[in-house]
Amino acid sequence: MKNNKKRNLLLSLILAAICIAFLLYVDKFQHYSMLATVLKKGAIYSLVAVSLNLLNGFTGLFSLGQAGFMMIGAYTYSILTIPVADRAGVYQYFDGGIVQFCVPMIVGLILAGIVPAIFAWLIGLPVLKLKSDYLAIATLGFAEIMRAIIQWKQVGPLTNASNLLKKFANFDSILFPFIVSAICIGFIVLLINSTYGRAFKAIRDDEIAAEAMGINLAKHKMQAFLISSFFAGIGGALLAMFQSSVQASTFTSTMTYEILLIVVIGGIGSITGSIIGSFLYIACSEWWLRFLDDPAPYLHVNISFMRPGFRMLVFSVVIMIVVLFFRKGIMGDREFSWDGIFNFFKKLCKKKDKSAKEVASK
Amino acid sequence: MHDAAYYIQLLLSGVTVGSLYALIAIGYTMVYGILRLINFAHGDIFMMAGFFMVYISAECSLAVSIPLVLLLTVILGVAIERAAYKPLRTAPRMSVMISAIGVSYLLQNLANYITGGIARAYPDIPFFTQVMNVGGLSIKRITVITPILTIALVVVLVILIQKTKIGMAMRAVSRDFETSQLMGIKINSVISMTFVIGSFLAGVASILYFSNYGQVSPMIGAMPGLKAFVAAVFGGIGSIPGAVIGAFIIGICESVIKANETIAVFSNAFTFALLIVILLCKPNGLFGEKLTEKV
Amino acid sequence: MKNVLKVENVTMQFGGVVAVDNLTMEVNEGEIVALIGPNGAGKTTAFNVITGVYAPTNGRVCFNEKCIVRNHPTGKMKKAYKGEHPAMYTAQLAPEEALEDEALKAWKEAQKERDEDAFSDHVLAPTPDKITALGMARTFQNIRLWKSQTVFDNVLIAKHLRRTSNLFTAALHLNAKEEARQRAEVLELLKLVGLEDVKDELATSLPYGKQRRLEIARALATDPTLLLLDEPAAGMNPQETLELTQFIGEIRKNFHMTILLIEHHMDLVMDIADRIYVLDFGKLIAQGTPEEIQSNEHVIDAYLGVVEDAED
Repeated sequence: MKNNKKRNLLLSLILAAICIAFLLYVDKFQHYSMLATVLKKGAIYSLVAVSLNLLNGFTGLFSLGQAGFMMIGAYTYSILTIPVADRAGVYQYFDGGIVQFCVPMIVGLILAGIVPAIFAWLIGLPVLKLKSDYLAIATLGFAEIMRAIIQWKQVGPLTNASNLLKKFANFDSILFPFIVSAICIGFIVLLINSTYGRAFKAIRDDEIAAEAMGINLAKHKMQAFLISSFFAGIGGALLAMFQSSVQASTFTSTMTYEILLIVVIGGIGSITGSIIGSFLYIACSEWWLRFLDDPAPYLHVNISFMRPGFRMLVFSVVIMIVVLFFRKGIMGDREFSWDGIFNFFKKLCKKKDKSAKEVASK
Repeated sequence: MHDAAYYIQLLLSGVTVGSLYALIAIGYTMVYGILRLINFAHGDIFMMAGFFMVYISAECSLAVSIPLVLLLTVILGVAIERAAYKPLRTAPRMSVMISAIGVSYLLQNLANYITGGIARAYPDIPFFTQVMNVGGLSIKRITVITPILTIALVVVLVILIQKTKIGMAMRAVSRDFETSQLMGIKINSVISMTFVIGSFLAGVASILYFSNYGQVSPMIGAMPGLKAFVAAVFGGIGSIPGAVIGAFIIGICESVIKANETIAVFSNAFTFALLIVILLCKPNGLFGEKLTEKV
Repeated sequence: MKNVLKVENVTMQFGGVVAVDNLTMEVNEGEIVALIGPNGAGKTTAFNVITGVYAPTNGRVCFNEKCIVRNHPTGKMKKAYKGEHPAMYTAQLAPEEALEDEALKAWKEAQKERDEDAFSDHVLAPTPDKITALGMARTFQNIRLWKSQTVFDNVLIAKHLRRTSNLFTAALHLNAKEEARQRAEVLELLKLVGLEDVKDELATSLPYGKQRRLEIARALATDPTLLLLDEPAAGMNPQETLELTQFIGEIRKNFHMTILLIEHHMDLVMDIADRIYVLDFGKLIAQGTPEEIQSNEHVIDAYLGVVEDAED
């Protein structure tokens, strides 16, 4: 047992070191490559997917408001961190806007979590009482309402209405989104493994039993909702930085669906699943499956059915297959562990042994 | 500020939009009543019906293409149920809902692929688009036809549900899924019938809506779909007259909001705000029945 | 003997159906009290009122001499109310002229001591978790364990209620001491109920009898003083029922527990109950010791049917 622990720790450290070395390499030598883009976006989506998983997978609250909270986070961050000198240019239709100060990046990032959490509290008070599907549609509606408000001309001096926000503080190193996401996901993992995480899972499994055993439903649901929106907001801010511009019209319900489908592919109730799902999804949609949109990817042979849009079609078919036939996704509700991997290989070897023996006996 | 004609026009267009929402909302409310599932793909069935019309009318005359479109829409609706919802009948509700979202995503991407993401012009149905002159108001014939046709269809549907055997079976299933199964009701045929009716009405709505609107695009189904769902919740989910009344109210409010330039941007948001208010004040809607979980 | 639970004039009405009609009962410290009655008599509804799942239409529940639940019909319900004593627990409880009576005055004072709002229109309807926090825990008729959790975690989650950590200290694992203590307590508890050897198995993989046991263990983990068991022997064979009877006796002894239980197995009830209340169609038709109940005509009628009814 103890040996295993030591071995696992060692392996984890080695893996972490390899990852960091790899990231440093990419950062240094392939800074503008597709690989770097995928890694950055993957890290950001991991955080957002994990935050959604905390709600859907661990607390059993079916929320579809994630894009809305990301949007609030992205706007909070960018409004607060645009340098004062650049404001006149960005808010050109609104006389430079009403916010005439600029906060440091890290403060902006934290506020990008806190502001969505405040909105989550306001919206959560009424809607968290609702049953699963009503909650889904109410949160979806809330995201739409927020989107409309941000695009409203009357709040233009604050949000720049439907125009782009840009020139805000940004990151350069690809390590940045990784570090932020790692810290945030780390916190969520710790939370899930604590007594509160267990209480969340109890609510997911049986609300009535959880309440009868003294778990305050309103309070715990609200906590999960606040934490999820806090991290979704930070994810939104990171996404804003990644795109180096923000526009409310991009944070549609389709974005929420996309994140939800990532969670499903990874496995509802698995953090590692969500992370793997995010990188896989981003890599496929941004990079590996790009060729599907190209009518003549190889040797100028025209493949008539491959044209823009085909990639997303293939994608949605794959997703439907996962939803219908591999309902547990990649990880199910299990987490990545070294013991799990070793056991897996042991089983595999045994199977091979067995089949080899069977062949031999025949 | 404005004359009476302006307000009448506003009201009329509200009623027209409302009737279209009503036709879509019935599909939501019936499916929810029986499967307890928000059929997220319903709005996209409506969109697909629009594209069916675009492509079929290019080949055939209107007299052929309209029934053909309705038939195809019905087939699509039932096929979705068979392929994406039926295998998940015993799965948790969340999985089925995710499947519905997946289907919606698939249909949108399919339409996007086929059309190349470009909005297509909807064929002109002269009978609908002719402008009539009524008491000094010039209105398209379709503005008048839509509410009348809607109400006629709803009346037929209510009679169907109240008087026929399949209607009785539907009511039984929506009351208690398991017991009706045990009582020998063929659950699958009842569910299919629900999808047939829902998709048929969505097909009718699509013809009326797009004739008025003029073009179809892949993402166009999402918003009317969600609004119709809100209408269904407003009226009390599972109740057909409720859905219709809810849809009329939403349609009228929306056209009033759209007419006011300062708040026009909130025409979609309003619907959702209404939804949240309803869920808080009267969670069972206007005519809905209370459902309680047994401890 | 100290009074642990007192149910006073509780009526629970769903629409026109009166599930519990003017029920009054009490449980004293250290007792095992059984609530019996034919199917649909309103036993589980009574449980749900006591544990806060439903707010009663009328009546009051006191726990450890303190009022925890109170309601009376108001508004629309005033007309629709079908139970007895609608005026109970409102300001008009006692006629004004009767206030002269010294005894009544004293009674009123005593009521006020227990329940500050005894004579006002104030409604008290806490959520079940608040009542559990006061020291009342229950099991369910249709076992409600947390399916995806292990046996150990099922019990450990019930300890969540008695935590002192908040979200952040818990997430940052600053509550390691408390966590370790709770884990030790859970292990101890599992040993006592004989589930130690299956502690790492999924709760739902246990055989039925053990699931029942686990549910009781989980309820005990919330540190209750009163345990409510909703048909603990449902679906058990005679052997298992016998074991359960002993088990309940052990719990009373080991945990100094007061127990209120609903049960259909008469052997079990007659064996361990100190007192029995009998419900029929929501109404209390008899109460007393097992011997008294066994010879009570009303009870026999309720269970076997009255002669006139039996004709069809």
